[in-house]
Amino acid sequence: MVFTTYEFVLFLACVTALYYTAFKRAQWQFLLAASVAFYAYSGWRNLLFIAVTVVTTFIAARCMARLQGKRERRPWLIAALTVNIGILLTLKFTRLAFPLGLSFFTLQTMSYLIDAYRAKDGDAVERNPFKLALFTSFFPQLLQGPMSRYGTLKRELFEPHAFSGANVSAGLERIALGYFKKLVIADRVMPVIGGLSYPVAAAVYAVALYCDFTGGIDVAIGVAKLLGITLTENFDSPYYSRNIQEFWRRWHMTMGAWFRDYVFSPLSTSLPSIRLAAPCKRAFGDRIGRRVPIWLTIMVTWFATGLWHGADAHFIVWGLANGAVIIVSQELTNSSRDFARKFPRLTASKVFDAFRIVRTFCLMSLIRSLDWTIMRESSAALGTSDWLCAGLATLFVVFYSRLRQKRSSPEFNLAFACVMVVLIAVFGAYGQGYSVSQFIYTRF
Amino acid sequence: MDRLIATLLRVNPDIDYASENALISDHVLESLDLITLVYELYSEYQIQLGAEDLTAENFDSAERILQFIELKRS
Repeated sequence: MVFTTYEFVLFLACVTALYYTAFKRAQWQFLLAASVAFYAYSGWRNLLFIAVTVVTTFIAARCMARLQGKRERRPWLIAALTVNIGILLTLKFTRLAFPLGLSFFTLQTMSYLIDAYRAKDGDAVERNPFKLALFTSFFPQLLQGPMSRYGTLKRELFEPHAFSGANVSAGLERIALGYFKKLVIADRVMPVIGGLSYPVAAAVYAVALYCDFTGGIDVAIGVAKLLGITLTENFDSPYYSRNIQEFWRRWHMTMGAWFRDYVFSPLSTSLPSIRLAAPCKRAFGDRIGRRVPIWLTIMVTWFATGLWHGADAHFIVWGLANGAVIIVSQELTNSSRDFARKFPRLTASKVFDAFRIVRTFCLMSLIRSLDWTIMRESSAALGTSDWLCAGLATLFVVFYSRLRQKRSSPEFNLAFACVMVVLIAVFGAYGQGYSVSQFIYTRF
Repeated sequence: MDRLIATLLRVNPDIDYASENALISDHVLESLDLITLVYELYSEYQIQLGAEDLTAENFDSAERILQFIELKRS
């Protein structure tokens, strides 16, 4: 079920009404039923994959909880990860079927398994398989995140939530903002990007992708808020970043944190990786040799990140390009510090900050354009009024995003939700001449 | 403590480790710095740290890092 359809709006209205009335004493059980219904709408067969993931994850985690040491738990972890990763890679490579949200719920359950493996206390592992099923399938975040950790989401999901005007207005405002970004900006310009000349296309694509992805996340977070559930934020104004490392701390934060905590950190702190430093020092000298294992781990992590996005070569190239730029950027840190010491007034100025922000945006747009399948998806052309509309809407999002951080109150939220609904109705790219398009990240 | 400070300065020379109390909490040490520190601690003190050890509780200040090293070595 696509977030931008009337079916979804109707589904959400019914779920919210029943959640706070008929099912107020069984809210999480009702959310599980609603999530299953939401997922089944995309095809009953898809339920099979998510069910296998939940059952294998639950059994393996419970078995690990009964054991004390990591050594004893390891076979269960390996077996469950093999099943989960096996399903993900098999379906990605063979394309026999691709259940919606597969990449997202697989990572969520993997984090649950690894946390259970690392847990000092077996009581931290869930005893109720239906609660794990809700964590895996919670419908607002199922298709494109944000990816949650069980430890942070369980209280939100399973505690009762009384109806709250503040939550409802905050949820509606966030949903309206998400729809605005998607329907007024992303869906208007995305179909024509391939027809633009290269540098313009790369910049427009960066903006459109931001509106599409953050729009979807806004809707997900808003829907959860409507139900009294707070999800983890996934973006922190990433296009204000001054370097690529900062960008990746502020863009798709839950995915970045996942790969950092479950791939990069364990790999780089593993004994083989640490021991690799000694031969590398002998081969390349002390300064470079000690860095080589870290560079390798960065490249492996970004290879995995690219592969998670898709099995096509351009995703791998995109991942490796990110890794390479991060390594170069990291190695230039000392030069950057020297430059700041030599020119303290310049580097502390707002102009220099602006330069770094523009430079990072251009660099990220360039790397992003490696995803050429979307860059080539084009045919139509936009008229001047459409470009003007998209441009003004982008400016509105920039200023409104700043404003809402400072002046958030139930009245403010409700007023702006109404304003945005009107703006979407007037300027949105929907209805005749437009086709309903899924959010880009649901492809992953 | 001097030996540890010297090790930390090899990771990032721009931090005042004597007074900094939120190395992890305030992202003063970034993830790459932390991994470099893991390598340095291995070669300096022969201790191996796991990913789950890299917490604010263990790494927020030089004093905490020293306590953690002593705990690991004991």
